[in-house]
Amino acid sequence: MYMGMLRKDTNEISRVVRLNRKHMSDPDIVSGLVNRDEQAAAALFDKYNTKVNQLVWRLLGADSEHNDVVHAVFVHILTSVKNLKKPESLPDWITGIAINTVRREIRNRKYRKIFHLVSEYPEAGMSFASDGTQVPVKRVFSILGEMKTDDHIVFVLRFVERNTLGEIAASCGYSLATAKRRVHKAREEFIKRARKDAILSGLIKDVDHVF
Amino acid sequence: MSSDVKPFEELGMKVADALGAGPSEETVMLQRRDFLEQVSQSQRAPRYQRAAGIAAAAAVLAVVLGIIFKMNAKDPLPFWIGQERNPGAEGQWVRAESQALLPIRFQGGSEVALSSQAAARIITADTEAVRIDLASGKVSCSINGNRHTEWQIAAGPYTVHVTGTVFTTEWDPAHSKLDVAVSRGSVLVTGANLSAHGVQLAVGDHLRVDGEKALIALNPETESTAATEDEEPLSGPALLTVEPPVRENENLLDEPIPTPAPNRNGTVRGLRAPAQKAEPDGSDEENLDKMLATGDVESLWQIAMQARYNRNGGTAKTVLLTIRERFKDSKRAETAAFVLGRVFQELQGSPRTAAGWFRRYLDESPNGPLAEEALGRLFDVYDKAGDEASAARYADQYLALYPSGLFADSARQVLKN
Repeated sequence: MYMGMLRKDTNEISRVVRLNRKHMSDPDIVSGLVNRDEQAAAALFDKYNTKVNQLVWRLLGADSEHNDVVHAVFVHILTSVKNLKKPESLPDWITGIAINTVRREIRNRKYRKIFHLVSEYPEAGMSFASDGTQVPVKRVFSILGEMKTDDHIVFVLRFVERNTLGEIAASCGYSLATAKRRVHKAREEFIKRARKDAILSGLIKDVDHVF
Repeated sequence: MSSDVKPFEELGMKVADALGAGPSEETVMLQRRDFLEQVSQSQRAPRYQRAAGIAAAAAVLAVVLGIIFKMNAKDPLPFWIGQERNPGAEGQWVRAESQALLPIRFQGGSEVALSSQAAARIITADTEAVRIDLASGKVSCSINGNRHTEWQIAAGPYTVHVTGTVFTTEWDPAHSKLDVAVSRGSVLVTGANLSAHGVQLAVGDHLRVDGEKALIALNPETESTAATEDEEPLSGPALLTVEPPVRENENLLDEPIPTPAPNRNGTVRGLRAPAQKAEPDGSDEENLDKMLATGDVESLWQIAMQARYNRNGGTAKTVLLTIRERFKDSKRAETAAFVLGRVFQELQGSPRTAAGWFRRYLDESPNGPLAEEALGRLFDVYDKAGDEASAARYADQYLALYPSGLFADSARQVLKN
């Protein structure tokens, strides 16, 4: 909370630091956005930036264009909010917009490879978990990039974000049965490609034994 | 069925852990400002929705063109003084006569506000650099860092280097006293009797320097305590005597101060223009992979420091861990443990992991050049993480070893609490 971070003798900073508006209700935010209220836009960002940032961050893998995609999500929210029939479903609706924005971004990249302007996937080959273990993040996202976009998204939602089938169904607009089928397919596609990777094949060898 | 998914769940957990939860707080601040700026601009258009789309498309196009044509022009950075928003000019003196704050607002959203009786001069104001000379008094700064413009506040013999920050600087020329406090982002303070490579301050850090008495205090007692003892903040609780640090083979501090790569464009959207430096700087993925696998330790060190300076915690972390793995017995590997603590503390928002790395440095280099700072930051990190027992334990250890050290005041405060 910005005001909460200020020290007593520096309260002058409040003039240049915006107030936190996390506590505006969703219906108020929606009606404010429809009426082009800037306070509502600030409240929207303050309340949902963590959720949107985490989702985009993990779906794209800490991508160099992360900020652009997050910006696109919030702009899309602004332009589409008038179509939201139930303001109380704002959180799920925002999740859906974030996922769709990422989906569009991934598809667009397949047509933009000619520019070589952006790196598609994380900045390093190996990343490290907080316990110091090496994690082949780039390899994982390279494989995801070879998969169909929907399979990529479903795989990350299920195994990285640890969403339930119900949550995946809700955010992607699937039935529960479809969500289950899509997760299974995403896993199969991942296995098929991971078997060819020297490091990842070791990680999923137990899956092979089960099969 | 559960055994089929377990390897994927484990892999997914590790990927999530390695990625973290999202970008840094500073990046989120930039996102927020960018978004609200667009909202504000679109409010002036007759069609809100269409303007938002056009503005977004125009902004993206401008950024892409900037990358393609490598726009490096240095343009004046307009600024306005006071509530009346009178246009300012380079070289102009500004003094806050009344009791109210006198704001100086720069294009792009940055603001420097002079407290009552403060006086400053805007030496330079362009898209490459903004340099302000604080003659006396206090300024409160909220800098909208864009990794393109270098901000400096000069206060007597000291300079505060800024990237994207909210902080205050106070300079008393009569007594050569400097006071810098950071509430968001980080700054580097150089000059006079400070370390040759300056003192880097992060969120919550507070530096007080008394040039006359050669006293330097980092994170002295809190404002609430000081304010009750003395109305004049700079003459509050006794400051510490610190010998100007003379550090031999000090791996961290004997590095040249990394300068931001100039003319990086479009960074508020996350896109970066190709760096002008010839050596790999981590922004080229293939080069970085190659460097990680085959680069020498010094080149990797430079990449890590640059990444850290650019607040790219992910790259800094990866390169430092690679140094520790590939060059296990080198001095850089030892220092990397300390720097990893700083990265996790300041860029990754993981105080416990940071504490782990400070402890590891102390285990590996108990008499190393950074041992005092590692111990000081260790109890500080535990304190900020709310682990009072660990904070007290290490604060006690610090005072036993360094009763007059840079962190002694903070250690006493932790024990008092």
